[in-house]
Amino acid sequence: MEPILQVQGVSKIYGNGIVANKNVHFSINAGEIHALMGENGAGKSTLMKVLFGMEKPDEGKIIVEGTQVDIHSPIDALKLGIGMVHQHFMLVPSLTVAENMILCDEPCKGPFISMSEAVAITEQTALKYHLPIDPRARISDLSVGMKQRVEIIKALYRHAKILILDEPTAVITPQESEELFVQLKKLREMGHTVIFISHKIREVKELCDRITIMRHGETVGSYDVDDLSEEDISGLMVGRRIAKKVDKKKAEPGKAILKVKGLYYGLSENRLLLDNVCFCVHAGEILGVAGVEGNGQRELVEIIAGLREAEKGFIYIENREVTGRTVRQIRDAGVSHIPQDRLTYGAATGSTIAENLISDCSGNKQFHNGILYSKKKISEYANKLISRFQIKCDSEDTPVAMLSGGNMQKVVVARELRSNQKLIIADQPTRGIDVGTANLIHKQLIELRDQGAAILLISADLGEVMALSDAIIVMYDSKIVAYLKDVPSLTDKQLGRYMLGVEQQTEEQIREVFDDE
Amino acid sequence: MTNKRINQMFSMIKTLISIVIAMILAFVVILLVSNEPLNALNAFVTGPLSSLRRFGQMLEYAIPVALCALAVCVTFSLNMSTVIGEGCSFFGGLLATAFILQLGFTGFIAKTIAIVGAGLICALVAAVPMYLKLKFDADLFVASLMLNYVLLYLGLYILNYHFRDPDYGMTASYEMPRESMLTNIIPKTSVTTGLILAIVAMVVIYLVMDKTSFGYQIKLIGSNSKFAKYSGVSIFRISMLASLVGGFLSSMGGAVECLSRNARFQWTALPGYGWDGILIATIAGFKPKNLPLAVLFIAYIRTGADIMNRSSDVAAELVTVVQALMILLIAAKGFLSKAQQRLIVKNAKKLASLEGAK
Repeated sequence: MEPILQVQGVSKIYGNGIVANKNVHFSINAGEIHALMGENGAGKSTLMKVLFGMEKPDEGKIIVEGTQVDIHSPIDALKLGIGMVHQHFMLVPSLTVAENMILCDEPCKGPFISMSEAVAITEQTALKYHLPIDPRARISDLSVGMKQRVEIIKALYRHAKILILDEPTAVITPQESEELFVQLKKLREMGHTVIFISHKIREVKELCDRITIMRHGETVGSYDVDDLSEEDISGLMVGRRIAKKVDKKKAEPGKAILKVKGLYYGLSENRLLLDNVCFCVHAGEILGVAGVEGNGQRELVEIIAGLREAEKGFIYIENREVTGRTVRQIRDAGVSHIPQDRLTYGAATGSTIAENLISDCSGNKQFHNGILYSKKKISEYANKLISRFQIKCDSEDTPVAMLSGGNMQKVVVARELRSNQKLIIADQPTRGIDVGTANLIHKQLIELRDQGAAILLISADLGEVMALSDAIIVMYDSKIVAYLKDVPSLTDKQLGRYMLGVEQQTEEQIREVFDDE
Repeated sequence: MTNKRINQMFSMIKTLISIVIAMILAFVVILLVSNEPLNALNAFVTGPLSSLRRFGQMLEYAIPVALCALAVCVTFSLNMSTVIGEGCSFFGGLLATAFILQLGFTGFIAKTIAIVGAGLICALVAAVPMYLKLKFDADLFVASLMLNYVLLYLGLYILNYHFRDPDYGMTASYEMPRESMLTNIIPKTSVTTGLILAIVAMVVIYLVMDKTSFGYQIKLIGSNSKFAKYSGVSIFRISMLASLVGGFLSSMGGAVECLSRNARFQWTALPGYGWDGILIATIAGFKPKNLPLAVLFIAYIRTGADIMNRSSDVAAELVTVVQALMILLIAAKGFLSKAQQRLIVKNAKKLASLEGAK
């Protein structure tokens, strides 16, 4: 059978030099649900953006129904029958369903938009594809699942024969997912083709006919889903990794510093992002949190750091409850936090290095002469940190925006790791930075561990988690699914199976991570 | 030369260029519309410095707007636009007059009570829109803009029903006793001790903004509020305090003006000091240390235009055009520097990825 869509040798290099797609080959048959799987940063989203005309490929061909095409914009893509449902919906919340449907293509009566016709169009389309919706409902009043349905109907109304769904189940409830699968299967029966991007192997096994797996910007291969076991898929996604080696002594865990007990988040939205999370981190120990992004790690970190409020559950620092306290109080209790998004939370890029280094202790006496700041004392302090963390810069008065990403991260890390913190939350501490800086940060973390700090390390980089951690918990689907104490004998394949939800430990095993004295 | 140096020079040069362009355009307009352009130009450029009285006139204008501009330096550093300064300067002037008329005694203590009392009330008023913004996510700009009119009409009500002198020809308050008004320090002008107050306020606010953790935290919120929150800065507390300080300073601008010139309070419309304050603070880049120059410059061209109006055939409105031009260019400068920023960040990322590739 002639494939409906073929991608041949597509490469995409972004302006900042990141190679997102490298010689990608990929073909889809008409009337199938085709899964596209891969880790974060494997290049799935870039490939889909190329197909939908949002990014221009630097090399390669796209062939739709036998003819080679150039797709310059989403409008081109729609003309070719390619529609996309983004993870973050592209809908106008203040307008109704019908108004969103006809946007850009308004049916008119004279100079006025004909609302009755818009409603009729929406109803017809909804009926035709068995996707019931109220055309007069305002988008902002709809649930996430219904918004997704509007996006699908909208794409179908524009005559999309190939539907791209970018992680559709990441944002909706399990019940809504079930319903979505039924609808997608119906669409397949009607002859539509679906490209389904997901991290969840179980969903892919349930729904899809064929699967293409991507790794590091390349396609690993395409397979019939029935030919692969869940283990096979996770193995192909993770691949073989060169383990990072970090010199460190065996950990000597002391008393529990951080205790998280029965933490819940997302109850009000009926979509749990944290589901009864319990664990402890001890003094002198690095606890790694492994898991595909979006399984609750971000919420967990933000709640412990005081940026978000838990809906249920307790957090203790050295047996003192800090649940719901302000960031100030939590920081004063000895917690520091390396945020994953350094440009948003980690730094004020317009301010100088010195100003960034004192942001969390600006009222500290050590910077003052009487009530006024002493420029000299601040400079001395900043320069000490600049040399300890080898920040490359003109002076402490250089705006952070002038620094490279690696040096920017060093500023963040320098501020957070400078003194005797009791707990360090390191959220993706080395993402997107050079190897030298990453090594420096790893060394500092281990040094602080040896001095008795408790460290919670969250990382999407398996190599980093395995090299640094003394114990690992794995998060999947908002829960802790594994507690792994014996890190050296762990393989990334094993870890991968937990991360992708193929395997899960028993309750007893998981409970061990929470030792409530 | 460090990067920071380059940046500083860059922004100074850009401000100067926009001022020069605006002035050149003003001269062109004068040349086009006037029958005696040299006379007009002369009055415009040298007028403010041609006599002590005229120089005094310049300072008289500079004092209240300097205080209002200081208020803007504080509140706009939060990167949240509250425009309550206009209403506060009006209300502050009215309340100070009311205090003087109501107090049974005169002299230094009466003046102090009038200025500080009015300032404290206006500080609370100025905090209202900020509270609405922080607690209920109200639009700060709209809330503060509207509150200006509430203050105007509330003030007019107070004036008409409690302090209006029915025997005076126009709407005005009763006369304040001479001893309760600010002391004149330059003869033949209305320059009073208000000048000293304004200078002291500038020094204090400069120190607060540049040398204390309060000022640092205000700027941190303005620079990246998420980062400020993450660093443990209480956005609510600092923003509220900054609004209180802003309201106090604006009110002081109005009060100083009312206790300097006329013995009667005669404003029946918003005086415009708040708006001028925003204009001047913008030229100063919201930095108190640049403020004296910016204030004197605007006062200079205002006074020059006024003198030109009186001694030639060119109308004083010309200066409004010049000001508008300058603000346009400076605002455009802001736009350019944003692009510059993006370029820098991009460059930094590029460098990082190069390092990563090595």
